[in-house]
Amino acid sequence: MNDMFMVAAIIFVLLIFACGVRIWRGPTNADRMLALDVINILVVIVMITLSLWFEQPVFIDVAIVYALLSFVGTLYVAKLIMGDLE
Amino acid sequence: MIDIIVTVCVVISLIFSILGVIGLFRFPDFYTRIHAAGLVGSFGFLFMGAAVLIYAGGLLLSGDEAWLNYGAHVLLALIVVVITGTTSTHAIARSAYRSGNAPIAKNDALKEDLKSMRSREEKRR
Repeated sequence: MNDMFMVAAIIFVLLIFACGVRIWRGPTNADRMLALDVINILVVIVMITLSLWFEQPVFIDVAIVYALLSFVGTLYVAKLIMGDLE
Repeated sequence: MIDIIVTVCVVISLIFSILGVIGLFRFPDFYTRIHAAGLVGSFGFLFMGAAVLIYAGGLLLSGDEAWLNYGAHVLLALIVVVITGTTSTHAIARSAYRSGNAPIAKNDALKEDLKSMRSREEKRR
């Protein structure tokens, strides 16, 4: 029963590498930022899944802080793409 | 019974995440790729969170009090990602449209809006 979460985490890590390919060859900067946003959500999913595998609630605190910090980074890059930052 | 529900939730989450990442590669346009990315952010994440919550709830019902703390943390992470994920996707789409990333569709209903915004910015300068 618990092994299923480890298998799911491995598949999610493979999906993260697949999104990295989209960052590598995205036609525009907005595509790269969208792929990075998907990677952020997938990292949070992997952290929650692995916290159940290792049975440590501390991993979820790390996931919450990671989600908030990546949110700030995404907003900053969005302003950078739009051209507001000089 | 709880094992079956948790397995179904994890399988749904995996299916939607894999479909979202495939759509990130197969769609022709940035604005259609946002649709695929939304699958990962909504269904992929929420069903995995539901699976973890139900699993922790099952262990809590079997008498281990420590899983109540765990479930509260998972609920907080779910709320945080639902709020920030939608907001960041909207910010990326808005900045992409205003930086001149044209959609592939023939009818662009926002084109007049973009023109009026550009003229307003010209006046301000």
